[in-house]
Amino acid sequence: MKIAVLDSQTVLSPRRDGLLAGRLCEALAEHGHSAALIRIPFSERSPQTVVDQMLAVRLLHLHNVDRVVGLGFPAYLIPHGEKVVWMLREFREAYDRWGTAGQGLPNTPLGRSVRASVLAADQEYLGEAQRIYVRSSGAGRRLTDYTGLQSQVLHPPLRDPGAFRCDSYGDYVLALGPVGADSCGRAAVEAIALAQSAARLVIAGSPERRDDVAALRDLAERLGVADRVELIAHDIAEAERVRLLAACRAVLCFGDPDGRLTQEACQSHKATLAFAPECALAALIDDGVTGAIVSSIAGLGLAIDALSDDAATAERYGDAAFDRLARSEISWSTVVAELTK
Amino acid sequence: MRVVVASTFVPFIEGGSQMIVTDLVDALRLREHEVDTVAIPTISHWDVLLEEALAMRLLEVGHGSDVLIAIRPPSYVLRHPNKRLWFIHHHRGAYDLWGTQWQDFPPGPDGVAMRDAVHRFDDLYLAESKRIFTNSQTVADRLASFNGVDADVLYPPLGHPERFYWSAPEDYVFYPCRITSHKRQRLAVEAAGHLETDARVVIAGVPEHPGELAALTSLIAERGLERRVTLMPRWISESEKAELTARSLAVLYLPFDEDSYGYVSLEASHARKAIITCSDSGGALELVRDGDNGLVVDPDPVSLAAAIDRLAADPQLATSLGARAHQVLAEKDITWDRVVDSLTS
Repeated sequence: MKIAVLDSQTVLSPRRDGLLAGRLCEALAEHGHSAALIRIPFSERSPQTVVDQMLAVRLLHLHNVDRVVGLGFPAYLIPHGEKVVWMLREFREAYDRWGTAGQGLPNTPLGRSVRASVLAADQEYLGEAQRIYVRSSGAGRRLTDYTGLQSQVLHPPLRDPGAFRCDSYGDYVLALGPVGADSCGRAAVEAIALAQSAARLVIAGSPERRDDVAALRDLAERLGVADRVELIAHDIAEAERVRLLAACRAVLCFGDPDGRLTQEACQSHKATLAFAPECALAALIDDGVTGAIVSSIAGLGLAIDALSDDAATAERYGDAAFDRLARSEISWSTVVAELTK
Repeated sequence: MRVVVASTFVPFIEGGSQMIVTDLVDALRLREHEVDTVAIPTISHWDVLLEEALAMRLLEVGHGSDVLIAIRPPSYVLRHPNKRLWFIHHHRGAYDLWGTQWQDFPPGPDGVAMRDAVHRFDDLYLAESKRIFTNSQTVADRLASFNGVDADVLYPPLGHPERFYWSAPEDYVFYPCRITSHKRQRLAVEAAGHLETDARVVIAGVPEHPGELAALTSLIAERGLERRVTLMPRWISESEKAELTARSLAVLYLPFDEDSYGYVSLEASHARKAIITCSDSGGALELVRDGDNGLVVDPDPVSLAAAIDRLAADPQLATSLGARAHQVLAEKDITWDRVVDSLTS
């Protein structure tokens, strides 16, 4: 089958957003299809051009293609009779970011009209697709809430699972992702303070706001755990991410919208300690076998203690987590089978 | 410099324009420019030309870049304050091919209206460009006569000239090119029927349509030319092409009225091989001069066969024409340094 993978493109941006699309094309080719990656530029810079850019995509035509797989807004709006959408990047400003502190569209007549147009276009033109897949159950619920469209969950596998490894079960638990002082970072520091063991905490990722790092340091100081909390407050390169995962005792998960972090933990033979089921890829977490799902900071402290007191338990959980992922349906073969059926 | 190279393409069809984009991006990166590519799919059917141009106009690609280099139509419709064009062809059905069998607009008022619209948006958006270069004098002349636009010629070099080399000529002339009617592989096959020396013809390339391959195959069979003509109707790797070029007596490039000199002639020149082309081949004539770096023949089988026979009977002539072909590259300064300087300065 000749398959065009349609993704959005941020021109001259070093962001990682095209990588999964490239991996999908490789997977399609590995399964005997001809795949072409087509990236349509999209800039969020000025709200008044968002609708123009949606219109641009609707004015394009694709011939000589048996199937279109749409991944990102607005590229996934392209007209084609054989279209399947795997919604990896919707325009969140029109969805759940509207009305939040980080809202990017202005709450003006223009902003409101752009938002309404995006939701209407998604409803109408995603509705043309034969099937819609989403990357997580949360994304599926959101799509239904805002547009009424139904979808199926298709978890994006890791691009390169073989890159992850397990070196040891070191003396730290790892919290990866944007470093934020309000929720995740705070909960992680508070949990380590409640833990009775000597476990250390490593928080790694770029800070969400400028003063987040100082706020977290203050908090650790006040709780008397400054010497047990390490902040790596910058964007983590792939190799460093692999290394941190390879040597940690376990992974703390406060949010994993596309399931990447949980899969990386499993692939590194590490247990995932999830703060509420929706915080991780729950299908991979069997409480007490491959990790733990807790509902309070105190519970998280206890879960950290259980694994830091006994490296053998951490290893047993980690091995079970690895097996769970290997036996799961999360794989590029599954993705190809779904998108081409 | 932060550079955006923009073009259009048809998915799953490899074309020369994609090669220009890839090679240009490599050349820019090698000279430490920060580069991104914008490649928009188009179908270029007459009835959607306005929609596709409007789509280009509505896209946002310019922010954060110092220069936008537009290649294939209608990418020059994209908005950018510092737009440079490396213009490789018009939508030719609306211009020089209008009124010929290749006019891809219907006769009647709808076709005329759309043709006029194409002319208007070309005039409008070509005028926005800071500099316009073309890949050949032929295309520059068309821009001058149809759109009143001045353009400089910037010949596209090969991406990897070092792959091509010379070795002692054998008994065949080589025509490596996509197999399609206007490249006239048929003419090469017909010429093989008139050869008086032992020379052979080797044709290699991907057939654009199964019908074109079938026509060639049956022509070879009808005229009993199986031993004279070797047909390789498939994609050949760069190294295979380089080897077949190196061992050839000369290289054929026989398109009808092509815009540019064609990569085939350039590859031959790098391999120090003479080029045989036709007096109506278009851009190839900007590179090939009869008796200097190749032979220019009338587009008929007898004339072509005579030229092949001439080189087969006089391999020294083939060698000296080939040596000149290599010199002509330097004389015309067909280099990436020149291209990058022109497009970014």
